[in-house]
Amino acid sequence: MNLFKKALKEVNAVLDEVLIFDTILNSILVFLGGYILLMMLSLNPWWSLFAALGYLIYVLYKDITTSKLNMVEDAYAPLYERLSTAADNANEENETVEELKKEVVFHLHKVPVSSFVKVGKISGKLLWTVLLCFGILLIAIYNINLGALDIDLAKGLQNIMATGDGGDGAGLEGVAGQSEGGDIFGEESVAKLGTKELQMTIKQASSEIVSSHIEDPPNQEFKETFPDEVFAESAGSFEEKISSQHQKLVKEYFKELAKT
Amino acid sequence: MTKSYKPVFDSLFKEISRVIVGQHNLMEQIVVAILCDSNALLEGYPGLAKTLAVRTLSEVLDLKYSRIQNTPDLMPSDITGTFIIEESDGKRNFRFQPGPIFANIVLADEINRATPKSQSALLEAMQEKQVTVGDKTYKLDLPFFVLATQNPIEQEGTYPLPEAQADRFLIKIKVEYPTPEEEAKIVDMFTVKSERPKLKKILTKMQLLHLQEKTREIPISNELKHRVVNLIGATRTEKELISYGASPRASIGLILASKARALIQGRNFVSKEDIEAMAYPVLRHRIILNFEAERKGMSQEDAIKQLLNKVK
Repeated sequence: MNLFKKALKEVNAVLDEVLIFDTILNSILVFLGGYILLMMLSLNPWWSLFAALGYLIYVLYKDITTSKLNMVEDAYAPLYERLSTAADNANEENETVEELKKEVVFHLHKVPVSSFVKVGKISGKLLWTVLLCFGILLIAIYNINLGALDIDLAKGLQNIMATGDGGDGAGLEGVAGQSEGGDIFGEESVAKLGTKELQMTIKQASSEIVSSHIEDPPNQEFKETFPDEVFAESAGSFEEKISSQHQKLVKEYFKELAKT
Repeated sequence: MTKSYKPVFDSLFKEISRVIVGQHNLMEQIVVAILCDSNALLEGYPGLAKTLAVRTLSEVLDLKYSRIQNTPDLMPSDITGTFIIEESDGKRNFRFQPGPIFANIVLADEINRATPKSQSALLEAMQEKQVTVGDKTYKLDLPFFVLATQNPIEQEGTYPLPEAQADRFLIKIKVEYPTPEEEAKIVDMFTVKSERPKLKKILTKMQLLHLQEKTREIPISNELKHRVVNLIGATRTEKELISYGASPRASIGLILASKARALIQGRNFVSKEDIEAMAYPVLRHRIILNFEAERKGMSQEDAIKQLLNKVK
C-alpha cells in the first residue's frame, strides 16, 4: 500500500473515531434528558434507553456514510477539491496524479487531528452530562413529580372553566364546589336525601348451608388389590442420594438445635 | 510538474498580447481547444481581431497556418486539394496537390458563407484528422485544428452550420467588443507603427503534443464528473427552456475543456470553477432554446446559467 492510500485510511479512521465519540456523548445526553423527563412524568425512565439507542443507530449510520474527505477539505483550504480528486484517482498512475497525491500527503501532515475535536463543545456536553446526573439524584431524593402537578393543574382549570365567564368571585365559587344556580351548601336534593330512611336489602348468597341436610359419610368398601393401571416401576428415597457424612452433619445440626 | 507549465502559458499569452490587445478570454479558450486536440468556432462582429488572433497564435506556436476564405462558390476540392496532371519524361501522371487543409492550424474564415457541401469537406478533416480525395486517404499532420469564424449579422446568403457540424466544434467562443481602454490601446498600436511586431516562438510542435497528453492526465473527482453528466442530462430534460439538448459528446468536451483550463491555470486537478467557466463555450452551440424561452428574451447563456444553478 502506498503512502497516499495509507494517509487516506488514517484520515478515515481518525475522523470515524472523533465522530463516534461525539455521537456516543450525544446519545448519553439524550438518555439522561429522557430519563429525567420520564421520571418527572412518573413513567418508566428506562424507556429513554430506546430513544438514546435509536438516536445512536441513526446518527452512527449517518456518520459512517458521511464523506470524511469533504470534512477535511472544508476544514483545511489548501486541500479543497485536491483531496477528493486524489482519492477518486488513487489507482491512477501518471505523473500528474502522482504529483497531486504527493501534494495532498504533504498538506495532510499539516492537518492536526485536534482541529476536528471541538474542545469547547465536548466540555459543554460533559458538563451537561454531570448536571443531568445530579438532576436525576435530586429528583429521586425529593420525589419531584410533574405528572401529579399536571393533574392538579388540570383539575383546577376544569373547575374554573365550569363556573362560567370568569367574572369576580367566579373562581371562589368554583372552589366551593358550587354549580350554577345553587348555594354554598351544595345541591339541595343531596341535602334532602340525608333525612330519608334508607331501605337496604342484602342479597342472599346462593351457597346457603342447611344443617338438616347434613348426613354421615357413606361406608365405602375399598378393594385390596390395585387395578392394573396402577403400578410402581421403582422406588427410591431421596435420602439415599445423600452421603452418610452429610446425613451425620444434618443430624448433629438438629441435635444442637434441639438442645438450645 | 503541472505548475511548471503555468509560466509557459503565461509567456504565451504575454507574447500574444503584443499584437492582440485584451481578448484574454478569447485567447485562453482557443488554447483550450488546441490542448484538447479539437476545434473551435469563433463568433463575433467583424473587426474584433478573430482572424488576427488565430494568425498570431499560429506564429507563437510555430505551426503551419493556412486560411480558407469561405464563399458560396468554394468547392470541396478547394479545401482538400485535387489531382493535377503533371508531365515528366514525356509521361503524364496525376499528382495530388494538397489543399489548404494540409496545415496545422486552419482558419476557416466566415464558415457559414460556404455551401453545405464545402462545409462537410471540413467534417472528415476535423473529426478523423484525415482527408479522402478520390480513392485515396491522406493523413493530416498533427497537431491539427480548425478554427472557424462566423459573424452573427449579415445572415443573408449564408448557410448556417447544421447541428451535426456545429457539434464537432468543441467550443463556440463569443468574441466581445474591447473595453474603451483596450480600444484606445488598439488605436495607438495600429496607427503609430506600420509594422507588426516580430513574435517569439513559445512552443514547438512537439511541446504542444506533449501538452495535449498532459491535458488528458489531469485528474477529475467523481463528484465533478457526475455534475457534468447531470448538467448535460439536464439540457435534454429541461423542456421548459430547451427544445434540443446536448449529446454525450458535450460531456466529453466539457470535461476535456475543464482539464485544459486547469492545466493553463497551473493546477493539477479539475476544479468546480473550471466546469462553470467552460460550460458556456462548450454548451452554447449545442442547445436550442424553445419558443417560450426565446419569447422571454433568454439567451443560451441565460439557460446555461440557470442549469448551472440548478445542477449543483
